[in-house]
Amino acid sequence: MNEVTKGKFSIGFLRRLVELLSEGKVRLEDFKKFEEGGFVKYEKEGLVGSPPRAILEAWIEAKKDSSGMLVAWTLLGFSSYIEAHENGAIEIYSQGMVDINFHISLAIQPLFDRELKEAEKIGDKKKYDELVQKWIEKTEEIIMGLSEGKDFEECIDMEDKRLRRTLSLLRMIALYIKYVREIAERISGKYGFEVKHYLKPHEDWDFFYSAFNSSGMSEDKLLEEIKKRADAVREAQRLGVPGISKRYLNDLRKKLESVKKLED
Amino acid sequence: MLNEIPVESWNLRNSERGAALDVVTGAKDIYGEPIIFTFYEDGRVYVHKPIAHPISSIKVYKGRWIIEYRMGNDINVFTCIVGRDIIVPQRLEIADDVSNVEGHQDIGLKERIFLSGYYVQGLEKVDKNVEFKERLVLIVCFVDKYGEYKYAYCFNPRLTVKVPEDATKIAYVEVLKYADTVNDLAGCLNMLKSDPENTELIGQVVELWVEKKKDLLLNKFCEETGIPRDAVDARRLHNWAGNVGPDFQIEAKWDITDKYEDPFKKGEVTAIVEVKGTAIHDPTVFDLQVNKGRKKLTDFLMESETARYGVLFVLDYDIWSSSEEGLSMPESVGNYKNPYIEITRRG
Repeated sequence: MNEVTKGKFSIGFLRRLVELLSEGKVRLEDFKKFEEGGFVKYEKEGLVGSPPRAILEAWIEAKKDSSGMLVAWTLLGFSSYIEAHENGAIEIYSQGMVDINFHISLAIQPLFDRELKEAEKIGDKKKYDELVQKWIEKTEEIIMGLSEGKDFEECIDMEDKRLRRTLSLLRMIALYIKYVREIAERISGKYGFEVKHYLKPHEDWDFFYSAFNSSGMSEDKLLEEIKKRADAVREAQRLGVPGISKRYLNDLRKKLESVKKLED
Repeated sequence: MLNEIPVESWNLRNSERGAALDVVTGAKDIYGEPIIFTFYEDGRVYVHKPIAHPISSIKVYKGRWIIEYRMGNDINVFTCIVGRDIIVPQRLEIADDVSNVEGHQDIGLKERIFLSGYYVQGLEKVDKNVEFKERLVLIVCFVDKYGEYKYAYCFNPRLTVKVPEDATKIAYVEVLKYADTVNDLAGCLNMLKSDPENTELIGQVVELWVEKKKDLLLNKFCEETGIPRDAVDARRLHNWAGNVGPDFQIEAKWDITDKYEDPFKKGEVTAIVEVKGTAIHDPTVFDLQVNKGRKKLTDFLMESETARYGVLFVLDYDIWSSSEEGLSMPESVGNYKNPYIEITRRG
């Protein structure tokens, strides 16, 4: 049985992974291969629309070491994004859910609006730019807080009178965060490993995410682990909502309630 | 259309009323449940809903079987059809007697589709949370009082849809693959018109537009870098905006150098592209997007092995006056030219 030495993978492994993730529908041979320097890229195009046009459906990018083994790779496709790092860490992301960064920025816009307008009115470009930076920093601070597990209400003072105009959006974001975390918790419980709701300050979207260390695992075990975790993040995403609005949140609440009933 | 109901299976058994023949038919009710009749030796016929009830009457109306059955002292009515499953991409013809939408702001399509001869079970595929490749979307084509066609998109499993102004009837409903629709500029824009606050679709429209007009981006890139225009091409990296990483990358078609004599080998990524969109014509929000895009590009450039350039593309457009012929956009937003393209060089 092949064992994966810390962070090193064979092409055969990649071949099996593609077949596994696509449930046997796609083979690595279906991809176009490009090799340049220390890198190897595989790309698969699919057809969409009528008349059909080609779009990039899946791709793999891998770094090769001197022995021809893959030492780090990323795979995008089959509703997943997988990153294998040189230290053996494997990270699996769902597709993005909502443009959370933009939603939060819009929700806190009134904190900066008055000053932005004043700076614009008097033509103070420096001040204006500083305010825009502050606005971005505040958004990132909130996202950082959320990524550390804080509640949305802990990251922003919802009682701030300036935020009255966007209070309903703020409340919806708070609910959304609560719900997606609940989904992550339930999916973690179901699968027996951690699935997180993932946010990153500069990233626009939020994801479900799971990570593990592949060092010392057999290829079979590793393939099984990746598939299990890819299934888990995909299932979490299917339970989520890809939009922050009253209607989507109501749908999500109902879904969570029905899952709870089944569990009871 | 419906003169007879096919028999799927049957079972002859003894009952308190003598011999009973249970017949599972190929007809289904609106919930997709098969219609089961029981014929007793004494001549009575029962229908299972879900337990057996005596049938009072069966009428056939416009291809549908309308069954009246007794439940205690009440008479209940339901309709069943022998139809086709809608959960494959196809055009659904809507029956005349259920196509009228006059006076409605919102309508439910489920019953109208069912009464037009289609099964409506399995609607979870119209849900936004279904895996991207599996997902379906319904386009509802309405006719208005002037005889013009108007479209609305439906992507909720309840199959409710807003009726466009002045629409009088449904002409047809079309089931499409969501992945196809969202990757087509006209389709994506029309979906956005049915869901104008969907920021994900706002961004997707801009990405599709850039893909179509990539010359705009590449001309500016080549002008500023000194790379010959025919030596590079831009490729979109995802088929849906919600993915990790940059939106496009610019690759060398053969070995090239830029104006600083920096070389790029054939196939190498020379630049990464971040695309951002807004649809609210707010200069401060546009400015925010520009600044966020810059930060993202800085991150991406640090991670990229070969790319030396970052290209930022920010566009503001008007959802309602844009059409498949083109996006409608102001010439500038605040102090920015619209679309705004900025090229940065690493190091």
